[in-house]
Amino acid sequence: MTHEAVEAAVRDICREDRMPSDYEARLGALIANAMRNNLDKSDIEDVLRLIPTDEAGHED
Amino acid sequence: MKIRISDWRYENLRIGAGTEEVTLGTPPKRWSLIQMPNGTGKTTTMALIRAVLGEEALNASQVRAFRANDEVTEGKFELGLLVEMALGEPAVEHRLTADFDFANGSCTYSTLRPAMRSGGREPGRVLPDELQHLLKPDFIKLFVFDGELARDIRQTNKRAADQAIRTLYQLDEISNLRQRVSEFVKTKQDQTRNTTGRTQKGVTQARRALEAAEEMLKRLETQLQSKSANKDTLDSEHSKIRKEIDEHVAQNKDLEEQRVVLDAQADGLKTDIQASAREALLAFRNPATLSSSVRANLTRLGKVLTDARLPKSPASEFFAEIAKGGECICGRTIGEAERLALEKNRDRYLAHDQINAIATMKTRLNRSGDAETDYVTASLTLQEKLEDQNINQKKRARLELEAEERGDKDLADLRRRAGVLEERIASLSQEIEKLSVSDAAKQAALRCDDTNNVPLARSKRDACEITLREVSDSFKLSQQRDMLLSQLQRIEQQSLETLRELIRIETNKRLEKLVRMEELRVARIDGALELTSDKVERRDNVSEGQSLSVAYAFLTSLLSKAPFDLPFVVDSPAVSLDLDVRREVSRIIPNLFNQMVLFVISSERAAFAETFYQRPDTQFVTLEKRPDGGVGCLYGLDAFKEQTSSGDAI
Repeated sequence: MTHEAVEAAVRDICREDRMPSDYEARLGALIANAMRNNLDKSDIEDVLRLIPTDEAGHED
Repeated sequence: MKIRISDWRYENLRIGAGTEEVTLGTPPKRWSLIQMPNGTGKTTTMALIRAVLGEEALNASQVRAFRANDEVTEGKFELGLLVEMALGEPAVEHRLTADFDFANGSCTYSTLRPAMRSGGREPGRVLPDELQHLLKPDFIKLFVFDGELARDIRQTNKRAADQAIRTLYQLDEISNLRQRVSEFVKTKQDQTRNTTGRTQKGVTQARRALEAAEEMLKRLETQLQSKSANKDTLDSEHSKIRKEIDEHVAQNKDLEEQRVVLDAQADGLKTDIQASAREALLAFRNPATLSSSVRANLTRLGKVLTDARLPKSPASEFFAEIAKGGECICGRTIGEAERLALEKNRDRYLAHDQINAIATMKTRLNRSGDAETDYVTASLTLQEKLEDQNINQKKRARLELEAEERGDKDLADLRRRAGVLEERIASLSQEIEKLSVSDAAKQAALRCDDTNNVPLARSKRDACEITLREVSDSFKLSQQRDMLLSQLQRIEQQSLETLRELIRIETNKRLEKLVRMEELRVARIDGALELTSDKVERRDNVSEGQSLSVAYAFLTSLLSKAPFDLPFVVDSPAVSLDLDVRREVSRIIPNLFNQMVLFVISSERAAFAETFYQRPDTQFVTLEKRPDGGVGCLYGLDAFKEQTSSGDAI
């Protein structure tokens, strides 16, 4: 039941935030690994790397 | 995964001195009613089950609260669990044990797995990974049911209902994940040199610093280029004038002959100065040639090594001497057998590479005073040559002066112009050196910094570039972290809301059967359960029986959807219920769990425990006080029916 609830939430949030196509699966795997107490630091790094950012530019 | 409680065993615990075992059947019965009079240890037993399941850290006063009496110094509680990993697989027995040391107030947990090949006791709680991860104190309270939880799940300020959902469905792990993401990013950012500018402002500052450094470098490179070009022009002009001067001097035959000699000398001196400078540098790099005292010390060290007969193995000689001397350094007598062994093995204790290294050291040390020119001699030679060069240049100048004095009017002007050019070239050379020198010692001597020296300005630009890259990466990572944390929070919240609604619907289905007198329903779950009924929109006050019914309905809904089939252990489930509600509860709740362990008192037999009398899969256990202060354990329905409220059999 948790799995379905979390999976649906991941899907909704990723769509809402217009995340890249491969991001949803990575984020889902990250949470699933955390819930199985099987988390690796590289899981976090992989997900972070996929998050697009604004190019850091001038303040003004 | 299916988990069953098979039995437990007390030793010198509050329930009574001595040893007592409670068995729930082989295999364990679906329902076990453990009848214990008030004050004989129901709460203690529940606490002990929770402690061993959760490997709870107990303080000294908690440990001593379990003590049977002041005479016992040690106690033990052992809980038998049967764990079935998958449907149809044989159950594996795990015995979780708490050993109490009442004297120092400590408790040690261990696990016995009789079926394992190793078989022995292992420290701590050792269960299958999935279970190990799940069995936390908050979770255990859900199935080793804490009576307070029944009230807490309805108290809005306690958020116990939410917490139960979060714990069972592991949503807490998403909170923990957020924490781990923050820690990961912090560690990553702390690894970079620049820890201050992780904001947009920091990035802007770093970019401006880089722009300023690039501007400065560009300006200095332009200056250097311009001055070098200027110097080239002056050098060329100077060479031209020098040539003209030489032509004027050559008009006097005697002077020309002297000039040729002096120029040849000058060429020779130039070569000599280069050679002397090289020799002085080599001497400077050799410690033995730096000073006579250093050389003497090194030579002495070489002699000591030679006198010590190195590299011939000192170990070998040491053992040979012991063998010959007949007595070991510890005072023991060396007999024939020991002597032969020493002689045979004496060469084994210094490896060839060590011998070679020592031999090389010795050779080099003994030669340290040989042939090579010492630094003082080399530097004196260099100084002499430089003085000779100075004299040569003066003689050359005098030659030109003499030619001028013989009436060559143009020569005077040429020499003056050459002089002016030399001054300007010297000045430019100094400026160029300051701008371009990369040797740190020279930079310090010339007071160079990143505003007047190209290599230093370039280093500054490179450093600014690294800083900007680090700050930008760090800022980017902060942005990514914030986005991920926000997403995880929203996922956690949305999942919680979905689960709340599923549990609410399921709870209401169960309440429909449990509470028939009134249409009591869960309106919403928001931290706690908010109730409504057909009579009032918001139902805050409910009877004790209704409260318990709501709690059971909620918990069974929770646990029925869980990926684990767990036993349900409850203390005095019917004591606060009136007889009608008891009948309802006893009709419904036995079917909610596949294993129930119910601690009851004799007054709960009426309309509750007695409804189990006809259920075949029930274990009836009665614990009664013994005259010696301990308790006895009786099995079967007859003993169960006979116990009085004081704990004595009728």
